[in-house]
Amino acid sequence: MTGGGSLLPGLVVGLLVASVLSVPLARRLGYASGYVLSAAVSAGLIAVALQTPTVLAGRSLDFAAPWLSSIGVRFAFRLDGLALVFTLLVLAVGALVLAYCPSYAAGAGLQRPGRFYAAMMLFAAGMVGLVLAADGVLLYVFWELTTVSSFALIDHRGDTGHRRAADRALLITVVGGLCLLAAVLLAGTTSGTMDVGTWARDPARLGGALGVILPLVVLAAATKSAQLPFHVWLPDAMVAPTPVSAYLHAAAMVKAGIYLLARLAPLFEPHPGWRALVVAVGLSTAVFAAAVALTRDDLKALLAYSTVSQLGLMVALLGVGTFEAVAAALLHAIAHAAYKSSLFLATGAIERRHGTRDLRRLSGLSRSMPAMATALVLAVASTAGLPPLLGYASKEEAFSALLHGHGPLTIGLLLTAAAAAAVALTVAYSLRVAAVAFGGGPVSRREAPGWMLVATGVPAVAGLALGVVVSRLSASLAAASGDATGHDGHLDLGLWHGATGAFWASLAATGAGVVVFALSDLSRRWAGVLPDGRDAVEAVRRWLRQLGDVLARPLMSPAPAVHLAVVLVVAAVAVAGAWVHETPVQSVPATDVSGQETVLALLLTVACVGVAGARDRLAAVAVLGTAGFLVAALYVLHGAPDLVLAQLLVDALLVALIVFVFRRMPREHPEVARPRRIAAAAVGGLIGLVAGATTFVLGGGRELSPVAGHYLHAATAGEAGGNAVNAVLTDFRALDTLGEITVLATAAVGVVALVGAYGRERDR
Amino acid sequence: MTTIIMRIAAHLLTPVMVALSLYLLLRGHYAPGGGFSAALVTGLAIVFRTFALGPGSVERLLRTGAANLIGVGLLLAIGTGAAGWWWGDAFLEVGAWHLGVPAIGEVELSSALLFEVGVFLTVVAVVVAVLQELGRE
Repeated sequence: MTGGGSLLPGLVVGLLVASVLSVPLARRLGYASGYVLSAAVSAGLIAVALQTPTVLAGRSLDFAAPWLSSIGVRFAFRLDGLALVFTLLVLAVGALVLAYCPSYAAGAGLQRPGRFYAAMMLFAAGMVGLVLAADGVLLYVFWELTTVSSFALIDHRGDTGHRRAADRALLITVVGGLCLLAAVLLAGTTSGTMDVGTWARDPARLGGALGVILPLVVLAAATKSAQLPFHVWLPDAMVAPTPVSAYLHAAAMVKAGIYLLARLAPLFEPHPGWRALVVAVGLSTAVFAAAVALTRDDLKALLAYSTVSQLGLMVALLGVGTFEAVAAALLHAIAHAAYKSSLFLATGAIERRHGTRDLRRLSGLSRSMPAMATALVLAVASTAGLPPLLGYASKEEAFSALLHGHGPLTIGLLLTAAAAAAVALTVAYSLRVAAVAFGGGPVSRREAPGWMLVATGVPAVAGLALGVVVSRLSASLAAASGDATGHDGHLDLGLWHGATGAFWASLAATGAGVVVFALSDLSRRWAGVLPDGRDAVEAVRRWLRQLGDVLARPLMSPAPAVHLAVVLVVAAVAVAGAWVHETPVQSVPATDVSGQETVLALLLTVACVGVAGARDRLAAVAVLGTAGFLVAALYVLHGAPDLVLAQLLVDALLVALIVFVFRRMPREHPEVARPRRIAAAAVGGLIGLVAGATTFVLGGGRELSPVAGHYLHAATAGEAGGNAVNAVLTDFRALDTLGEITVLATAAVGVVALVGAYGRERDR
Repeated sequence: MTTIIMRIAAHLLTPVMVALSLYLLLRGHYAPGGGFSAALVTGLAIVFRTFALGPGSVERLLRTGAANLIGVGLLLAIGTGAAGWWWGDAFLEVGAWHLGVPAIGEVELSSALLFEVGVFLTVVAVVVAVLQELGRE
């Protein structure tokens, strides 16, 4: 542990504040505020990057403050090697994408800049918080923050199609989020700590619960990182503006599942079965999605399936879980973030320039926008895994790690073969994308605006530069993988390791990819039968709605009387049940009733019967008001001036408000059928009996309870002014008062919404 | 209900009722009263005025929507509570200061009063909101 840990909450809170401030900022600057936010995120990036030497020296930055102490939840962050890799990734891509947004928004006609940037910054805060969180509950909170901001961004244009896609993405990712919450709570209760690092270091503490926690974690990661069969939301989410796709749905959010699996990698060690499942899901996703990507003509859809496929490869590597495999997964995450964000940003620029993203209609990019075409080709080369780009190095590491994983060589060969199939398909679709750069086209030369070019070019060039100096990444990735797996190891990244098995696999896969591309039409027709999955999600959604309707029907009556009856009967049964279940602590029957009280009680009874029997509405209200005054009179007898005041005022206001409503209604109550009157009388009689009996049995207690004594003493001493009732309301039980006025405010909002909706309905 | 007597009474009485309500608000610390009771008195004044002078009369006086008022009231109450961390060590901890004011003597200022003002504003705003909605033709 070292100092400087307060940088971490500072970073997260800073991004949250930036999210709030981006609303007024955007009101003034519009989409141009992206430059300001980009600069702010860059500052955060530099601050974190400066901590790299500390983290590489084997020390982590820690911060912890109490949050929900009673259940052991802390506001705790930790920056170790693993978190460092992801934090840098999230902030770097974020800064680039934000700088890209202004030019893109101008061309794409995006509206509502404040909403857009608030959601983008909220996402950045959520993502950074997620990878830095050292506490399970905190991790979950930030996880959901990324889900919610993603929903807002997919739905940014706000029409029905976008909303539907956003709904489907939310449906799937929220299920994953709930799984994560369950896993976190289960792990927290069995291990006695909410510290994620402790769970990973000492899986034995989780005991038998691990068998339940692991599938939940796998579900959470698979939904977030779009693994089979939950991948459907990601291609669907491509209706989002392109910078959003580049940031959330390629570089950052979908990596949350990868991060989770890496963070909890040691949990899988005692359970080879789950490990095998993760590998199988990852590799089948990789192959399947790469095959679908080959069949897509929409460049964005192709990239989306490509993302799913690459995530599958990372998941498989994390499933293997050796030191080398986790390092390869992280290296691949970096390479993928670089080239995929570049590809998405290039797509946005191309669509803006050529008016389409259809691969069949795009060509001649090297002439229309040469710089953008260069960036595109560089990024595509990294996707295909050509040397000397970073994608090549990560692919080699992946093959090597799969080949030399756990178990016998045959399993290694099998896994490598599956990965090689995915890579071959990747090469094929990469060639399709690269083809748009060449060929003829009628368009004249006009480059994309400067910042768009910078944002697209920087990650593409970074893929090249990092590929050349990939050995420099060895130390960082070794630290990250060491933090994830708990095993220290040595990593020797490089472009050339000799003619190893991985090299031959790579060569064969690339060759096969070229052949597939050459037979492209054939393979596309064959792959065209692959299912889309959107209909399945839509069916689940419909089914959930129908289930909701069925469940709601008995509970949602338009008649207030039904709701009232439910509340009253439940209250009566609960109190009566408590009586039967156990004798009350202090039962002193109220036997010393004075003559005045008896008179008042009789008058009160008459008033109540009068209210129930009155046909005329106004008469009923007037008698109800009288009943309220009689209750106030009872308080006078008992010497409670505060209660008298409040009772009189509430009574007067209530009667006035009821009259206000009733002046619109018929003067008389409508005729009510006998069965309903009997039912109403039964419910009223029941609650009246229970309340009356309770008052009688408990009402005789006249001596001061310890709490009351304490309050009285405290109210007359010290800061309080001497009015005990008021001191209770504003000091001792102020939280209750706060809760009550919040309820009042909520009720008012409900009245406004209901009456307002009724008015609109009637006007229509 | 908008007879001449009602209208004159509304003009004359509502200021008195609001003054009474402020008196109740301020003295709540020492004697029966407080933010809630004060808000009810103002609420009655508002109902009276609405009956006598029509639905628009209160909004014209307030110059702001009930929703804003609810927000201000709740924020004031929550803000006073949060400030408790600053002068005490818990949410909603009450702070009190004694000021010597010339000609009046020592005056006690308590954060509980601010909290009460928050309660007062919220409850009044709720009455206004309900009246506005139900009073609409």
